[in-house]
Amino acid sequence: MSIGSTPAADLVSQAPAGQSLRFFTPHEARTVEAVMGRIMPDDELGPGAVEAGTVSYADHTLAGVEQGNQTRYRAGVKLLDAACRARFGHAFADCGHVEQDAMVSDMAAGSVPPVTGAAEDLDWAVAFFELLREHTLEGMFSDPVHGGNRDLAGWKLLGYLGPQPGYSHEEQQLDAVVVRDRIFTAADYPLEQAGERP
Amino acid sequence: MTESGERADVCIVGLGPAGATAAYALTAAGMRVVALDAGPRRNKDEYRLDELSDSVFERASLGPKFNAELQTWRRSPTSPTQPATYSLGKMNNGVGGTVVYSAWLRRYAPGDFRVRTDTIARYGEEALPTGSAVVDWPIGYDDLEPYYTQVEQITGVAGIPGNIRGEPVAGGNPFEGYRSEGYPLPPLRSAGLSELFGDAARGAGYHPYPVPAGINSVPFDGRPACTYCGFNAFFGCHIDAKSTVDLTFVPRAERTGNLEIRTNSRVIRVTTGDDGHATGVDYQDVNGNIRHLEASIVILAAYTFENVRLLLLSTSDRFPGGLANAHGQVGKYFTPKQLPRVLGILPGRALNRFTGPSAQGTIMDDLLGDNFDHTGLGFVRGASMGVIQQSQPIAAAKDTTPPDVARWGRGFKEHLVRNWNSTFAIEAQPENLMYEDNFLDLDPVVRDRSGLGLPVIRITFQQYANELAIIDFVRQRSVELMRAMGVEKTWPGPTLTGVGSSHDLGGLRMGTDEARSVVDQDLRAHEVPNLYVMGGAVFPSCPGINPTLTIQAVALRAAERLAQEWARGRGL
Repeated sequence: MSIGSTPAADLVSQAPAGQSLRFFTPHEARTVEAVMGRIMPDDELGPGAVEAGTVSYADHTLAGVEQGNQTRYRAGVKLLDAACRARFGHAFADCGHVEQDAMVSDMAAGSVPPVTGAAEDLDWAVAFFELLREHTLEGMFSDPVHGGNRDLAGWKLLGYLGPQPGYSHEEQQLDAVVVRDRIFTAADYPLEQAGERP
Repeated sequence: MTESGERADVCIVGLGPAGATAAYALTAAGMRVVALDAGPRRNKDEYRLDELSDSVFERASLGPKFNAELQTWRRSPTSPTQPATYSLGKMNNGVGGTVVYSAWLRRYAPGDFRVRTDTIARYGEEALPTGSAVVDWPIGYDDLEPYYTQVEQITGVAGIPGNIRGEPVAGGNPFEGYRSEGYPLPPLRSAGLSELFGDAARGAGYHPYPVPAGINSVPFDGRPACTYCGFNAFFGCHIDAKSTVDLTFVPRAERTGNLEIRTNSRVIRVTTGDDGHATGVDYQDVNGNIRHLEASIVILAAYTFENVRLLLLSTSDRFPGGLANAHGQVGKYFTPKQLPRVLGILPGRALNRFTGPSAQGTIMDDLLGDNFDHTGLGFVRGASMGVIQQSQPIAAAKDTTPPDVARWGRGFKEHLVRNWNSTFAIEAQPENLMYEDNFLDLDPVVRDRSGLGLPVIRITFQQYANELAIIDFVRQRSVELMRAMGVEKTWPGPTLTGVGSSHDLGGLRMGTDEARSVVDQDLRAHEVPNLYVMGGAVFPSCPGINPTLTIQAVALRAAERLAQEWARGRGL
């Protein structure tokens, strides 16, 4: 499927349910989600970045506190697509996983051949990979208030219980099993309002 | 003039650990203090247990001023200038200062105040590295001991003392100086990882002890005990169990009725009169208006970078190169601290480091300072090292990966899922000597984004062979200890961990030689008799020990002496 012929409605439908994009274009969202899905893939160990909604986190963040990184994403997606077209004949999001992994591997290693428009900045691929990786991990493992970690998928993957009010001395010993009724989030604080005290 | 025409006895710039501790002593002596802080006054209900917005805390409301004026960095005067990098994070503005600190409140050891004398006596002058600027402090441990004790008692430090009035105490740090009192609170709990490290360290002949922490191990001073929630460093405490100065020294100063706090008030220069005395400060108030506060005494108590910057920005006909800078000493003898780590995995074991504060841990000073014989090692001084609690998912995921694990994809995910609760580090705090060529000045190009467009601080810093050798040495010892703990695979973190470290010391050195220092042993500027500087900027050295307790003890001593002089009617 080529980008030009992809109906925007289809792309929006791939965005997290009930959420519209605040910064990314539909194509950017689809591309960023695809890269993040390779950085943290869905596999037998559990859900990955796509399932945890990390692209929503990035979108929220770029529209908010990280507006300074907007141009890096806008340029990065274009360069990534150009590099993919030169190598595979189509944009990143339309590549298969094998091709996508090859491209992400080259980005991480800094071995993407120069593409048009990047002559003055040969390091774009490494820098863009690092930014995508950072946002993937933040989107997986940050509090859901920031738009990612959908259904607490990232925390459940690790067995993390969220910001619990406290732990006993026994729970701090090696190999102690920590069990709680529920996962806490930042929205549970301050505890006084929730009627709970540590 | 202030709007009411009032005149403060003392204007304190910055109400963090240095300024708050000084305010406590000055107001108790009856001096009327106006404290200006660039940030707000926060309370516990504003602190969320949210790793993203608080830990990467430039994203939250904690550091807008600091973030608008980030430092630049170059390795040497001939290297390109680039943005500075930060390890422990950036500083906060607000009453209490950097309330997200880890609250490791350790004393410097007696030898830390006389590094030059002791090093030459034991190893000869040639042991001092070329280009280094190693000096003794103008005051010693004996001068500070009563003030260390006072700060510990008021703060409520939790720990095991090692040396009470010359008597060794089991379980404490045998290398510490004598103390006139033990710690007011028992130590924080010992977690399983700490026990494992402690056993390995004792087995190797070392002397591990619990981190002395400014955290309530039991209820103290009307505040509750720590619940070990795991949100300490990089977070404000949501129940006030962490002892920050907005909860300790500031309320005591306020109760005297002699402290007025003006928040969101950012000082932009120290003003001086024709006689060369400071007359007060100009500051931008909460509404953006530039105002003047007249004061008999001005105390700069901001963070290192800002203290240096304010002096350099306070130019006048009489002080064309910046205030108190006739000898070109402002900004010299500066160093950040590096925080090298060795990481390792205890396969299949649950360490539960997501529990407990970062001040809950076990450390050892056997390889710190001159606590071991350096003959033949090729370097001087050393590092403290140990293990701590507090690991959260984003930090764990972003941490350095083992060399045989990719940084993305299925292998990376598997590593995270299987090992995130089995991974820990031995963290080291090496001493960093001062060097002639590591210094601060104003960036000639980059301006801040405060709206005022003032130059930012430019850091000139690189690591030298002595410090690289310390790091290499403690890494080897760390690997040995980890093997004894049952770790098979170890790997190092970065060698240069950041140019800003939150242990950024020097730049306004205290000393007796006016040509080689900026302030005297009482923290009074050599060139401006009613101007004082408090904070880490005045430190002549950077030992491998957290600086806050010493910052407070030095400030308390200076403030007490200032108050005594004031009482004698010095008529400034």
